[in-house]
Amino acid sequence: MNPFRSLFFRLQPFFRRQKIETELSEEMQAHLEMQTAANLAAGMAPEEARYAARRQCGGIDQAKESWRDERSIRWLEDLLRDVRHAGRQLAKHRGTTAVTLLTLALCLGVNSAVFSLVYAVLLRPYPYTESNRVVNLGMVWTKLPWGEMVQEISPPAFLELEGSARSFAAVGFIAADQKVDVRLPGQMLRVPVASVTPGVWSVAGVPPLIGRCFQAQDLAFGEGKLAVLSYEFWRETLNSDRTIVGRRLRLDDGTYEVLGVMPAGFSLAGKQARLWIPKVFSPAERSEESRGAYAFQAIARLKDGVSLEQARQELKVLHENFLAAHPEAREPAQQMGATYGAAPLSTWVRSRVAGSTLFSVQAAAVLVLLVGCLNIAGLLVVTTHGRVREFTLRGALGATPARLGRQLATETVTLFVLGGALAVPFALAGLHWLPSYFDLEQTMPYGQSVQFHWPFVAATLGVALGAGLLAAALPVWSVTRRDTTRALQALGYHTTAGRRQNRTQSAFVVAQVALALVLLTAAGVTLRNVQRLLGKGFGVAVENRIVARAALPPYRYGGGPGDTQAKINSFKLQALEKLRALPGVQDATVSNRVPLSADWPMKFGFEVPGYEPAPGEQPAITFVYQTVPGFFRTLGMPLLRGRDLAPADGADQEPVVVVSEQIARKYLPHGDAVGATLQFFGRACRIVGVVGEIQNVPLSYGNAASIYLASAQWPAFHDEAVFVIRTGLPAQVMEAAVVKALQSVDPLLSVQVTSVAQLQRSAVFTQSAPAQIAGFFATVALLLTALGLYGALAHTVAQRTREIGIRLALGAPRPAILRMVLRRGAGLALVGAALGVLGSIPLLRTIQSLIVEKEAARADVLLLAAGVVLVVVGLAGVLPARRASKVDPMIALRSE
Amino acid sequence: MAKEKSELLQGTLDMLILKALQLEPMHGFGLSVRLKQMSKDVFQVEMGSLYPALCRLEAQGWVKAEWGVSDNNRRARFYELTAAGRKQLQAETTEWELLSSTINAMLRVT
Repeated sequence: MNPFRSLFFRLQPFFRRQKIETELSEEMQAHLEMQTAANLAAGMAPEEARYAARRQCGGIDQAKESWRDERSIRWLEDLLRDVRHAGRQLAKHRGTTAVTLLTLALCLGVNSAVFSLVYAVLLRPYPYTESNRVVNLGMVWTKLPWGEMVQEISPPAFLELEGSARSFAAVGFIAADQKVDVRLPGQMLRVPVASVTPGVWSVAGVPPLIGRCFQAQDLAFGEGKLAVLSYEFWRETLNSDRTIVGRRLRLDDGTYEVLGVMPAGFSLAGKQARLWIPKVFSPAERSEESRGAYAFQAIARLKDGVSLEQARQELKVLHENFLAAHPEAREPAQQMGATYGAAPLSTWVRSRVAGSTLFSVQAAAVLVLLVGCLNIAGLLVVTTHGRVREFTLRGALGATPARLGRQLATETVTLFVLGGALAVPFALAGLHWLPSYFDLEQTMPYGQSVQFHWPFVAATLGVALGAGLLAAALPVWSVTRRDTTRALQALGYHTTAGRRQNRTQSAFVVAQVALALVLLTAAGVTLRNVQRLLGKGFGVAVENRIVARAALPPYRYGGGPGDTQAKINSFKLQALEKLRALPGVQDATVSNRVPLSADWPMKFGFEVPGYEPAPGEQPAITFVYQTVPGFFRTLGMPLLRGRDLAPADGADQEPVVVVSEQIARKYLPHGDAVGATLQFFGRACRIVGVVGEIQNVPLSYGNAASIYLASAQWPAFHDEAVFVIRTGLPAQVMEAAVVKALQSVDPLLSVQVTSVAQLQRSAVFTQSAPAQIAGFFATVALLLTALGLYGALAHTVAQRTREIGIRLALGAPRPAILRMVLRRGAGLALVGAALGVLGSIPLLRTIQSLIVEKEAARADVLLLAAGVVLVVVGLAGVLPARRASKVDPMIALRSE
Repeated sequence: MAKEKSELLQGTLDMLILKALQLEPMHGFGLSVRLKQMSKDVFQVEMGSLYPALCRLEAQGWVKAEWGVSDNNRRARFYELTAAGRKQLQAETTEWELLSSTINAMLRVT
């Protein structure tokens, strides 16, 4: 028994149908004739012989059918026939088909893209070995707003944990957000790098792609000038040169030996680094001086058999030990509820990515998918109902409900498969565009490109398909249940749709209206939020300011503790001179960071002598600007009291600071802040001026006060100089000139130019993105809803044409017909709007927690959204209503 | 019993057709006559059972079919046992004999 032979045999009819059928007919005809001949020979009369033969042999057609069951693959035949039929049907109703396909493509495409993104960024499990055993170690300040969330760690704290903690099989330290100059033949690159302790490799447990990683032994001897490369760096910059292992790279002013390359997508604690070098702790970092430098990450792997809870307990004990050894730290620690903590790494990474934004995008996409599905379902109900007659007839001719059902299912599936195919370009476009929209290269923890998450795509298609099948099945099911004769009789008079159909259709429209309203509300709230934010301003002038960032790596500029600032200061002065001399430049200044940016977002503690903090109060922290005279003027910040920094505030003078208004108000409420003292970094500084509050960092970061130091009086806090240039010319025009000017002072400088306006856009991104997205989705949903209502009303009108004709013939005025149709539409819209309003109320509450301007989530948005929905939907209803009122009674009465 | 149509299991009919073709190739009508003859008029196989069965047999490669000319110069399709068909007939006969003797024995037990 050969299955292939059998299969081959059964596939033949698909290719040689005609021939096979003819032969069969001939064969069976021959059989009949032979039987007739036999009967004749037995003595029957010719007519009798023929009838007898028919009886004896059985029915030809039934025999043929049974034979066909054996000859070919029946279900495949039926399927192909159904698909062809489906194709014809779809082509016949071109309009409906086009709308359905477009809706499907849009909804499925968008959803797939969004979810693939969400999965890649938020849900995909961390690619470390046994990643649920990997935790992030750091400080926890339970009494502060961020509660139990693990924060950064400082070097002495890490070293303490590394030495004493028993719960971990390995611990590692990561100092990220650093950059080095990589000197390659023909190019100089500035690359993000992280310095790490060898323990990180054991924590991650990911073997390198080639070569090896540095271990403790490598650092015991030698200078530890070793490097492990990331896959992306190796591929892009070194062309995947396998011989790189063992060769040397020039980083800054040193040469490092390349030990290995990590696999694609690898990262440590979600920090983007192009290569990893060993971390060597300086004596200062080992000492208690650096206890407050909470700017680093530590990761650890739990020992086998140790639970997270047990580890946390041990950490608490270790912190206690620390406090016992350093009693002076006890009080501030108690005030803030400080201790050491650990949290699963994936949770920690997620909290730093724009998780809520992505989830809300996903929610909006799902809502649109729902609206789309409802739309399609509604359309399907309409078209299927129109074919009730066809189905009833076919039922009468012998088609089983199963057969009819199969045909209907095939049509729906064909439609959805086509729609799914169309969705692919939409989804690909979305996948291509979304990551850059969210600026994900910066925040993506894995460094891999976002790929299609096929299981989700298949699931979405499945769900949509299920909804479509259900919708298409309802009318057919109701028809096939009725007695065939009665059904046929009922069709003799063209009736209006059965109650059930009408109710289903109405329900769909109402649901769509409600969903569209919910989306509109979300859009309205988020838009108003952004409007207010932008209107309020951020304390700095945003227009006409260009920002140029120049890296001042220590190996060229010095600037470490104990170093004179000579090189840095001279560079800054020269650069400013050159910039101010450029045509079109009205003003220029320099600092170590610029407001609204995510650069160097570190906050530092300070003290105001004489100020008694209340129990449980947040510590005094501030952003720090190391700047020159004229900074406020260039940035358009108002000087409220006192004076700006002056050239006279030099290195040997008393340290002076300008503070932001918040500091003056809170810590020096009595008397004048100007002239008071402030303790910063162990030095007593005199406050000489007060300026207005500004937005120091992007909105998703926490804002705080700011203090402004005189650049000459402090060692460089950050190895970057940020120039702000006020000019009327656009950034693109000035960019080349600015870069040239800066590089004329130092040819090795790497400069990046942007504008304050651009920074502002990025800063509000977490607020503006939801608004844009919600707006987009709301528009789509509204359009779909309008289409849905239009379809429903048009269908009603078409069905009731006869009735309308009768009414008109009996003297009803045309406006009355118009009103009748509009009333139906209005009824549906109002019910939908009411439901939508109800659904939006909890939504308002949820959104309020996400936005900054809480005022924007006031309930009057609901009224506005409802108004918009009703207007749009009303317009959608006008067309069918007008068509109804224009019906010619003569034609209508004769039609079916 | 003359024209009573008994229901035959599909598989059994297939086996009987193979048996009927053992001696010589036949066309459909001839087969139905032969089956009637062999069963002493018990089995009167209609076209609706015969041709599907022949189709099955052909699909499995146990019979092969060719167009030929019948006794009264009528074009007809003749079915012939293949070598594989003969083997299959042998196997099924043995199986049937075992089965039927077992069942018979069971039915005779009081």
